[in-house]
Amino acid sequence: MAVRMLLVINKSGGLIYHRSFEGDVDKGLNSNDYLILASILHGSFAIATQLTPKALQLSQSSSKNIDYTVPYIPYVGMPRGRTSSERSKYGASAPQGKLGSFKGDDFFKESFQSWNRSGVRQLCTDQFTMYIYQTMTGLKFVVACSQGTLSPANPSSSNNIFNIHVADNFLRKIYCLYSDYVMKDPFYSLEMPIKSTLFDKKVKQMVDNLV
Amino acid sequence: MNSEYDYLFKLLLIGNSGVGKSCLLLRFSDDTYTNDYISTIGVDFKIKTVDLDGKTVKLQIWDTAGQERFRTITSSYYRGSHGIIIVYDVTDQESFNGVKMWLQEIDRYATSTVLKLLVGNKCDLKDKRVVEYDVAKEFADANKMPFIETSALDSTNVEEAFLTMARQIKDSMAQQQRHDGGAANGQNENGNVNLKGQSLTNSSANGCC
Repeated sequence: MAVRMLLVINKSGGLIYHRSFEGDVDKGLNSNDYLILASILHGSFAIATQLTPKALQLSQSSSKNIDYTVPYIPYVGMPRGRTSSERSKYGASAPQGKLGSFKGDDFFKESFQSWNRSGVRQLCTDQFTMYIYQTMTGLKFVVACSQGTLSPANPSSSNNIFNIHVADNFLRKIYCLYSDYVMKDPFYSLEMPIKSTLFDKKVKQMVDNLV
Repeated sequence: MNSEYDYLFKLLLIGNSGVGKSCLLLRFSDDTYTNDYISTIGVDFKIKTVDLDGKTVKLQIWDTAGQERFRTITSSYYRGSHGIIIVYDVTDQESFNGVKMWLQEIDRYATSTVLKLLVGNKCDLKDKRVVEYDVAKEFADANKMPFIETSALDSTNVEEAFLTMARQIKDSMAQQQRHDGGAANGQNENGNVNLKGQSLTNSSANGCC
């Protein structure tokens, strides 16, 4: 499985959701370690934000027309998002329950703006690759995967921009799930740990769809 | 999974360099003390799990560096914190004078509803004391924040300082929730329907940012 763990970090740097999808990732890490990990990430993100404008100043020619639009990549994390033949096989009746409160067969079909304009978007190591998607309100969705890409259709993609876009598409959908199942939960207190089982279930479903 | 704890509170420790923020935290979280002075780089974290009224609460304490050169990114640390503890050294007048500056930083970066606490550390050094209790107490009262003197060395009041804060946060949060719940259901605490309606401005004051 490509996805190894998923984190949701609130705007103040607190970890409000973590889940790993491979048993051995957790080894030796307890919940306090995860909290510290998330906050360090938040801190380095802030440092990166401080650094970026200077870096952009150096290349003045390109800084004016940077495009933050992320293209829509069809069916990332959706039940019928594998191949076109499978998609037609399942037809209109999706085998799994609906993922969220959207109409049609995907959460959105337009390209969108990335709000993560000066922070870290991707972190590459020998062991894993991490992608960070930031919402307009400062909430961060982080995914770590074992391969460089999350794209099931194109598993050996070495096109880095494409990989970032796939991850942004995926994490934006996790954000949609968050809006549907966490924000609409009347018992949820803002900025606090997410304990919704429904959110849990849908996230798992979406991650499974990636394979 | 996340089910281990119900609440996550963010506490922030600020104050001049060398006043003993890290030592205070080390005493609270691990109940140890070290005489070595190691300057904090950027920020350090300690987490303590406490039980308040049957709820498991994790206190995540952000121990910031007091040195001026680490100040550029502190605004991102103030953001969304539930409580801020300002520490000064009772044997160092300069660090007490600095409290005013730290209060300004809080006004600039933190939410207005954040809970503040003034802590005078190193109160075990009685013969070296230069900041008197009454002076600090008066200052704290003028700025409407509680004040406590602690010693990380002999662990006087350390636990109290943090737990008082945790309890206050929990209470203000419960109050907030009751208020929200009451507003949403249109009910008051007696279970009767309130037809007068409630002003929305109160609840939105504690919203985002």
